[in-house]
Amino acid sequence: MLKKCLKYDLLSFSRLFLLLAGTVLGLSPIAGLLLRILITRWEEMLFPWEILLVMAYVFLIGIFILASALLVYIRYYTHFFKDEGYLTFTLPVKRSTLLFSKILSAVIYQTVAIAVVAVAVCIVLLITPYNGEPYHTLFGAAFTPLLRRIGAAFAKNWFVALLKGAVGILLIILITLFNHLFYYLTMTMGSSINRKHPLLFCVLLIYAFNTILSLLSTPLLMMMTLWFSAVDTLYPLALVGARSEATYLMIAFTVAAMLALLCAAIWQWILHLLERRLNLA
Amino acid sequence: MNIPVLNCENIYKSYQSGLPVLSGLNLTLPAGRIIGLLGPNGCGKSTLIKLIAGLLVPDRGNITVCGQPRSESTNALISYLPERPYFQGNMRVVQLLDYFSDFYADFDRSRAIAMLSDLGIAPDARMRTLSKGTKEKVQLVLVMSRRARLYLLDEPIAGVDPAARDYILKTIIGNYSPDATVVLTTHLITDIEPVLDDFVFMGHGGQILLAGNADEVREAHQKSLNELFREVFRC
Repeated sequence: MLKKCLKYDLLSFSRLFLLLAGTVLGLSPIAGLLLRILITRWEEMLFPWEILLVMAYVFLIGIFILASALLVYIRYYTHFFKDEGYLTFTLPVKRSTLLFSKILSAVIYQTVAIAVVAVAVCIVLLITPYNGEPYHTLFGAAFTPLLRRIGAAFAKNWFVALLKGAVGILLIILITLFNHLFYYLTMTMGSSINRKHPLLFCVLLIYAFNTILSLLSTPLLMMMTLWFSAVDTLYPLALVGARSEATYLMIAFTVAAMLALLCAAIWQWILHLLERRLNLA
Repeated sequence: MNIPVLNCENIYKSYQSGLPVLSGLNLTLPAGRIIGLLGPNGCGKSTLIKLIAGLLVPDRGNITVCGQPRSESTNALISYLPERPYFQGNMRVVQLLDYFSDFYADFDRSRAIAMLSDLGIAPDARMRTLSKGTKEKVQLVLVMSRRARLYLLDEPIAGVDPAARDYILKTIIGNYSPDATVVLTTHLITDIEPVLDDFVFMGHGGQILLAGNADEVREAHQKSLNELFREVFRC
């Protein structure tokens, strides 16, 4: 059933998403050409409207990124808490499967949106020169040292390098999941609290949660700093060289574990609300 | 042994306002019947239907469908028609057929296509371009094209024209199966009375005031169900 749910979640606004993505990609060569004209003929300043067009393109990219996120959240809200909910929640599908499909489709759309923007920016920069040099040679200048550092890290200790990479990817996944689950939770809570003004309550809850997180983050960071400093001093002198690697990994894994626990708690909370507190209009 | 299609035991349900809607409702429905769930506004008919369909959870009590406790898996046995359209506006009718075919193994696509053709509804029409009545017809076609064990129809004929009403009632009778039960809620008692096998008069708080075989009660009271309803629920 997950495949079927995912199919319809991805199809639900695919037309609009592909239209926006196609527009961003299609206009990228034109934006690159405009930028090239601007840079090469800057002293002449004969074509100020090109500045406006390039700014409009940057604005379009911003709209595309925002729209990709908004469409996902609108889909979640309308599919669960508007009239469509009468069909959604009477399907022979578990609530956990419905929720997982929403999260998976959100991650897929977010990934595709980032890839589209990355490709569009690459196309723009490939066409645009900088100080007489095409931008793509700058890519080489920026990425070659980075690749050398990664290679050196693997040569030194492949296991630690692999762990660092894995925990980095894990943190990106967990932060993405947390982000989506957070907004899903506020929409679900808003809907269960008040049927008439669910989005208003959703916004209020976002503000409330962000305020609480801000208040808690300072003491939490202080505690973590004290903890890691204490653990750090326990290292024997013989292992000084390995201390920084281990400290980095410990911090990263601790943050990942906390995020994972938080995601699990939010997941359970949303499921509880969907199962026990559904409040369709 | 004949397992009832639906068994509601000691159901209690209140909304967030604290007002109790159902207080200790007990209801058992056998298979192979067309049953009218009738009552005044606010007596809890739609709440009961939503509890059975899984949209709400009872505060207390148990609901079993074909002997199984109510869960997502019993949704495969229930075909629910709410009183409002519940499809995405930008979907076409043919996409809805695909949707139902994907999620419901008992969905009879050819039957749905035939019914849509009878009602003059184009398969490539987008839902948002259809009138309210036509949307309701599409919804009813999809719901009645399933081979479910329990059909829950909440106000199925309220928003449609009289000709379509006759077609819908004919479809309900035509869907009769000895394994399946159809539960209808409506205020248009005169229209559905001819198709009903049994009826339930539900009062406020979910109290069952009168229930039984429609023909027998008409015989005993020498009144139509509509007249009996007016008598029982006189203001």
